[in-house]
Amino acid sequence: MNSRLIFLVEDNLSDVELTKRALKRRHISNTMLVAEDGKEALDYLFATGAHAGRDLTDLPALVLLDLKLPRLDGLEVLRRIRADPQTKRLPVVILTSSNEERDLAESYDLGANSFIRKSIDFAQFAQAMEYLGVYWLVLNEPPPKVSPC
Amino acid sequence: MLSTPLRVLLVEDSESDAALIVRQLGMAGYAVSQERVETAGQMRAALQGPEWDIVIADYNLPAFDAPAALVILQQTGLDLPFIIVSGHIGEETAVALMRAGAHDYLMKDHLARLAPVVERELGEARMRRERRRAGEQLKSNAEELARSNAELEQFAYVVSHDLQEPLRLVAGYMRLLAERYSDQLDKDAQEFIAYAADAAARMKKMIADLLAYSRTGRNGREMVAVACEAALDQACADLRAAITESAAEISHGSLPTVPGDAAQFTHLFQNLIGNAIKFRSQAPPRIRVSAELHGQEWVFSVRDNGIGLDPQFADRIFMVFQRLHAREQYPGTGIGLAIARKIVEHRGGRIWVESEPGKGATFHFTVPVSPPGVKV
Amino acid sequence: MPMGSHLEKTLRRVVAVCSLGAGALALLALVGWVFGNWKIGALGNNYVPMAPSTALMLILLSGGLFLHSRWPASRAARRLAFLAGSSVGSMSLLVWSQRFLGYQLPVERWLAPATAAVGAIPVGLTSPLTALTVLPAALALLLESPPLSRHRLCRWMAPTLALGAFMASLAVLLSYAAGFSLLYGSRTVPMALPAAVSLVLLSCGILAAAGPLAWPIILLEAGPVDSAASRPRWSMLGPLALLLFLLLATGIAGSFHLRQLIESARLTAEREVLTVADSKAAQIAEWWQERRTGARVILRTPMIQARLLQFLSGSAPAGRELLAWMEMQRELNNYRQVVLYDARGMPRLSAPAEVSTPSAAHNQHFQAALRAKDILTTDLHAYGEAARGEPSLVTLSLWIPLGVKPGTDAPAQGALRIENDPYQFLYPLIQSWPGSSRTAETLLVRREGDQVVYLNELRHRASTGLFLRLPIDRWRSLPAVLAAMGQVGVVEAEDYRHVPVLAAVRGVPSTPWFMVAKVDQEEVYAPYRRGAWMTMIVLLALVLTTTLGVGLLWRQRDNQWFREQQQADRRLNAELEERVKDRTIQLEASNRELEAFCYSVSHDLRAPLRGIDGWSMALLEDYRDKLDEQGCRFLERVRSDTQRMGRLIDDLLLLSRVARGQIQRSRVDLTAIAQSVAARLQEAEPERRVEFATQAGLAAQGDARLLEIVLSNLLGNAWKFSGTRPLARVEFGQTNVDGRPAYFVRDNGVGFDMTYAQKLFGAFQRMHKASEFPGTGIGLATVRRVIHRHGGRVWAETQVDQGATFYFTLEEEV
Repeated sequence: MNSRLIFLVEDNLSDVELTKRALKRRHISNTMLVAEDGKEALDYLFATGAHAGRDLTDLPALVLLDLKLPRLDGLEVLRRIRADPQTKRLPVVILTSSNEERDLAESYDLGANSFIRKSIDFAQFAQAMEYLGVYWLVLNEPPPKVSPC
Repeated sequence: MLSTPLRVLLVEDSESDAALIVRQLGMAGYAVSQERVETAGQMRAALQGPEWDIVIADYNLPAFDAPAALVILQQTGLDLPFIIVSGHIGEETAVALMRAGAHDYLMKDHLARLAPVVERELGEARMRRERRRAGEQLKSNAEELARSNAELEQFAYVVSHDLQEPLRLVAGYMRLLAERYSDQLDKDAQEFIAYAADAAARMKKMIADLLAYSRTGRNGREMVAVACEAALDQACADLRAAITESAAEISHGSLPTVPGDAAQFTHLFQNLIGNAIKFRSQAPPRIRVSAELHGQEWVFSVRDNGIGLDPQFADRIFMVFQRLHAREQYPGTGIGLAIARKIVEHRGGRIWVESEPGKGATFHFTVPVSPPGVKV
Repeated sequence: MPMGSHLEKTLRRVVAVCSLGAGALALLALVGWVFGNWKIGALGNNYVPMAPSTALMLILLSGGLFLHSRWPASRAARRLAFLAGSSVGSMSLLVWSQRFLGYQLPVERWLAPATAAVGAIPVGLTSPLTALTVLPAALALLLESPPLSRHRLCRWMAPTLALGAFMASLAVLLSYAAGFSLLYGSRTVPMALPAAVSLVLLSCGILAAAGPLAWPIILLEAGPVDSAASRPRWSMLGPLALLLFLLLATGIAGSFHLRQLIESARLTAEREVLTVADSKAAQIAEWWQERRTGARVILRTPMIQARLLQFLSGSAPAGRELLAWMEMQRELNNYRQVVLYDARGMPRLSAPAEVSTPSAAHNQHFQAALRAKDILTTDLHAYGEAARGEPSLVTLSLWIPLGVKPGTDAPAQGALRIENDPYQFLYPLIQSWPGSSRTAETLLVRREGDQVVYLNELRHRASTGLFLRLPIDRWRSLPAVLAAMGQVGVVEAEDYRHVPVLAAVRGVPSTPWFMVAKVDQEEVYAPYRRGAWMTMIVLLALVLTTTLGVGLLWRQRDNQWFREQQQADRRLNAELEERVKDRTIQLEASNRELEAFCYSVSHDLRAPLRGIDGWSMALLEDYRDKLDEQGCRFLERVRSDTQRMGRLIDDLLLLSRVARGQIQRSRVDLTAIAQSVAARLQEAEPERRVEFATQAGLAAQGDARLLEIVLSNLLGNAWKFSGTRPLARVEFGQTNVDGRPAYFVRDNGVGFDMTYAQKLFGAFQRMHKASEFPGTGIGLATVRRVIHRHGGRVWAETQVDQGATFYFTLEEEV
């Protein structure tokens, strides 16, 4: 596991840049990988499709997952991540602008580790990113590797 | 045989007569719980209390009589079967009572008829109740539906209306900044401004779309005979630029004349054909519009040879702001098909798509032959 | 009078008409009797009049019926009806028993002083048939009257009895119409025509008086007695009209046909008796001529005369020869006896040998013959008495005087008597009848002064030959008398037995006799009568079944109608349910659409806002030094506007969710919520000095989340609008408004103009400029939504610069 890789699944480029910016300004200098839709995200995680041949054991330290994605929905991605023994321990933080209770409940039901609402106020957003980085990348103990059987 | 519980309110001064009635009902298979009242006051009190299934009254009591009891029952507004059991009662009086609202009358020595009469009256009361309930439910449903729809419109309207003002301001500021400070700012800064302005523009578009969406449907225009071929031609005229640019070929079979709103139909065709052009493949778009009569409705089809879509998203694409592709690939807010669906559903039809990725898509929608019935 | 249904009114009218009609007829007859002109009560010349007792009974019955129907509620009327019914019932029973017990009610005689008769039937007696018909009618009336009408059996029996009486009287009426009145040929007094009409009316009325629940009427009337008075009630008229029409039509047609048949039967019978009479008369005349001729021969033949005289003067040997000759004559001509008398009248020779005792009559005849000097015929006469049951001894003799010379005065010297035995030829001839007949007979009569004498043995009565004599003036219409008076032809009269017969009468030429060939009318008409009875019965049965069938069909149709109604009801219900279901589906679809809409709006609209805010901030952070103050201000404005738009969207979403979501009721601690909201507000703006006063222990039933939104909004508003006061005061408590508990949030802020209060709770209504007090204006709309969903009310009281108080109530606890 690359303890330095943050996997951002987000379709809005503006949001991607802002997130990058926020993280940078808070000196979280991890590498950030971006997938623009659910399918691409899964392709990467399971080394299929465009990312075939990638080392499966090389998983990101944290997945920031938006819910509203074109094609495959964010919740579906989460379900698949949790369904696969290789990736089921992967820390996933839902990062979305939706404030529907339904999404909140279902995210936790499907096994998300955390749920963060993107606020409009960029200052707040940047603050949240900082906390995120510190918590998940520094404080949190990452899960142990899953030995391939 | 299972006993049916029956709560009987007896207006009767003679205990033995009351017992006879109860016995008769018991023999017919009812588990009778009863209360016997002799005066108007007692009856009123009894009616206030627990629920009753039926009222059986004697015609003449010392301090009371059946017509008065009937009036009391009617005053409470309860819809209970009211049966008069009397020793001797003139036919005229009985009929007069029934005109006044009693449900049936029996002779005291004719009690064998009691059970079937009771059963019949209970059945009728039940039917009345159900009908009333259904009617009320219908009314409340209709009200709620109306309110919900109105809310939808109001929401969309309000959102768009109240957002347009500040958005205009924001866009204005961004423009000002760009104008005044672009030479002072480096590429990155200009990029920032561009991002922000872009976002504002996008939001504006979305709001405009939302407004359009909310307005679709109930614009109150009358149904006229719409020649679909003419509507199609109009839509193509509106899309002339895109058609020439993509070298699209649009053909159609003979299209019928249906009752509807011409502008909406034009919009609908514009939407569907516009999509077909937008989501084209390498080859120049070949689009065919046709219509078939199936029973009581016309089924229109718009077939293209574009990129197609995954059938598992066939439902999602009709939802508001739903997109299957990133914004950079294909422009648009994702409201076009939502509007198309609203148009079709308002007209009483359905819309759906058949497609495979890479194999083009066929959009179908139905239009009922006759104008929709009673509206909400 | 309580109002009745159409059917009841019709029935009552029927009853009134019938009872009045019947009573009037009876009254008419009675009046006729009182004034001695009983023919009024007959309605026809040859018909029997209504007997006074019958009239009385009918008057009582109709009176009772009328009372019963006109004043059904009056006890007196009911009692009278009961009385009428019972009395008439017993009277009719009494009258009927006359027949069996053989006595006559003295009352009857007293009421009917006239001792007239129509035909053979004495007037003034109640016909047993009438009595038999009146009895059930009276019983029916009885059973319909209250003390008895309580019992179901009585209520069932009454119309049955009335129906029976109706049928019987109708049958009699029809028979009158057909022209051969029932029972007129027999000994029984027939039902009088007015009595029949009366009884038809009366029984009809009694049937109608049984009420619309009586089984015949219910049967005819369609369907169950239903309170749905909107249905037409003429259903009884159809079958009834049908019945009457059928009856009338068949009655008329039948009666005509019958009349025709009877006419032809009569003609045939007439022809028969005429033929018989003519042929017999001719035969008798011939026979008579023969006797006379034989006698004349003897008179006119001198040789025979000489011989006879010779004998008489004493030559014995001539006697034997003469005897032989006499014997031969006797045998040849079938005489019974040939006797030779001498001048003194003593029989000298007789063949056969026995000599009848000379009687006085003989002597007379002898003398008469001698005087007449011509053949004397002694008509049939009886001699001696016959034993009882034995035929009478009758003889017919011719006296031939001997030794008479026409034109001279020479006295006769003897006579020859030729005696004929009528039993040899005459009587057998008379008594025979071509063909077989039960009652036909021929008879011979002769007139003797003011009497007619029956000359032969009668068929129906023994020992009548020359024995039966009937005075002419008392038997004027007797066929024998008519014959004896010289009438020729066919008559319909009553014979010596008082039996109506069809008789051919004529004289027998050359004889003093008259002939009657007659046959009983009953024999002629009997087969037709029987046929008529049968036809009538079959007819009535047919009509009854037809009506019943129609009635049942009607009822079935009506039941069908009823069932269809129920089905229509059920279908209506089902349709309604369908519509409800449809509408519910639509509602759900619409709601879902709304939800999806809100969902995507909340996400999609926020995204660009974030972009705007983010990049503006980025600019501010990175290029603050490059931008002048105005530029920075622009960016600040952009940020604040953008964030405001975000809040607006959030508020709208909240409002919409509040409106649609489910209410989850629980016990909510309002005080605690208010306190936490207050704490939150203070925390957000720690520099403000606000005094919070919250009443302790306030709780309510409702949705905790939604009520928190309410308090958050109201307290937030109070906080906001009291911002201008150096010392702001915000209160939350409960008070009583119009007897109901109401919560309030009060502040001492700027208040607002009450005139705009109506619009206050509309979404997006703002009372102040956005620059003064930020806010989307949606908060109060949300508050109102929540309170309404809790079944309560919210309103405000305020004055400019005096602060504002917002009140709200929640649903009463059940």
